[in-house]
Amino acid sequence: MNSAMTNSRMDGNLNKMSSNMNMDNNKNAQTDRKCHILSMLSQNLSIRRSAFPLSSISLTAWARGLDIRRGGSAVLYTGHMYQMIPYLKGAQKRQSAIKEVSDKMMPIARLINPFLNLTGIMSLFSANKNDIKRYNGYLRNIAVILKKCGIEFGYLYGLEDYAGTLLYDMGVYNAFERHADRVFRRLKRLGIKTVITVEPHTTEMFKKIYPMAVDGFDIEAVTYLELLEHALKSNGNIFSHINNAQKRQKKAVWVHDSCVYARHLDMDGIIASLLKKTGIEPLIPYYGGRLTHCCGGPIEALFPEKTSQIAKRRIEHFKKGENEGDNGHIPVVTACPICHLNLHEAVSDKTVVEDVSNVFINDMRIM
Amino acid sequence: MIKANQEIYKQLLSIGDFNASKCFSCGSCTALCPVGLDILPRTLFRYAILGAGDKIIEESDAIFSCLLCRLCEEMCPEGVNIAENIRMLRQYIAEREYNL
Repeated sequence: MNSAMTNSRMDGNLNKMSSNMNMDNNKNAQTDRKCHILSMLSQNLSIRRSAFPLSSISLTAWARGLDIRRGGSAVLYTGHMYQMIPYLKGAQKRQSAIKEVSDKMMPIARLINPFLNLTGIMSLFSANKNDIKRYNGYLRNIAVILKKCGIEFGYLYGLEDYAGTLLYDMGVYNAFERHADRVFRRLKRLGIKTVITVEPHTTEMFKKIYPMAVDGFDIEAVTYLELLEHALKSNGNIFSHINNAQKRQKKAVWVHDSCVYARHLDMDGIIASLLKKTGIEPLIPYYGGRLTHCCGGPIEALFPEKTSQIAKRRIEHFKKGENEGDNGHIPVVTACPICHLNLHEAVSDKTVVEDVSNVFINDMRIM
Repeated sequence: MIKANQEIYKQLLSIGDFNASKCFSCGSCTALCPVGLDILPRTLFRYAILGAGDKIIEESDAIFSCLLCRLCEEMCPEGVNIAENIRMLRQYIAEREYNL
């Protein structure tokens, strides 16, 4: 009996030890994975000036035919974010399909990446054409809105840099700091005094982080939403083409504020306020405005499964607020391409997730 | 057993405004957290203040899972820069553990 108990206790201890060892192995594997991914992002930023380097053609295709001047003291600054989304989406789908292999290959990939643009190869032909058209379309909308507001601006085309957000957020500060300095020096060399940003992450970099990280940073950053708000204050007729019948119908949309706009930059409410001015009813969901709920995007590079769960939970907040019969017919609007991607992927019914620029263009008929 | 090394806390303070010592462990921050972390920020902050480097590395998954969305900060009665503190813990790990 005693011997049996001892054996059983020993078995138990061995099982426990083996389970602890497995847990340790898993933890080590996770740690290594994080280290490899962050390393490659850092290499990309240092060598290729972007965490997710894409060809100049892919980055500038959106501006084709818009007749935007090259450079100038004020430039529309995309920060590459909208352009990256279709490729990120495609690369992630590929990676998740070969997750085990790609995890095993990480150490080798990290060694090869400085010489061969693996991120570029991973994203090659990975983007869906409709996605490219959609996200480029949002940038085109923004350029048209600015023109309609009478704002003169240029674009840096192939000379525009990624701002470095992901590396900053992930704590890879040395690479970020070097990059930020290079970006600033290039902007100065090109005579840029103002950057007009189009999404929250690049906006935060230029408004808050660069002034702390880069000596002498003196470039003004303003979002197109702020410019639109300002333009509406001084000239309420900008959207003179509003269709009155449409206005009477009082179209409603759910507003998903980005965390960065709402809490990092204290710009909660700007989308709702702009929508109101144009006759569209902004609906604020459970967890909205200042207390907006994250889409999960910031941890997508390391924990894509968690991102997906968080985005699905966010979509539930809109569902909770629906009346009977709405049945996914109220669109969700956002001003962040990362939120757009994650929410769009999380929808399981007919709900449409739109960039707010699309709502301005379509519903206000400013074109 | 926790190995404490005060140098680690000093290093974190040198990175930026690491104000974890303002946290009085009320746990309000976790009420709204979209991730639902396995470990509370207050525990991570205690490790940091103690200089428990091994524990910080052990919890690196949780540290890198934070969204930096700052919803927690809306609830914090003490004005702790929770997200920025977490970002600085990442910086500590990236520099000391990953050599980045």
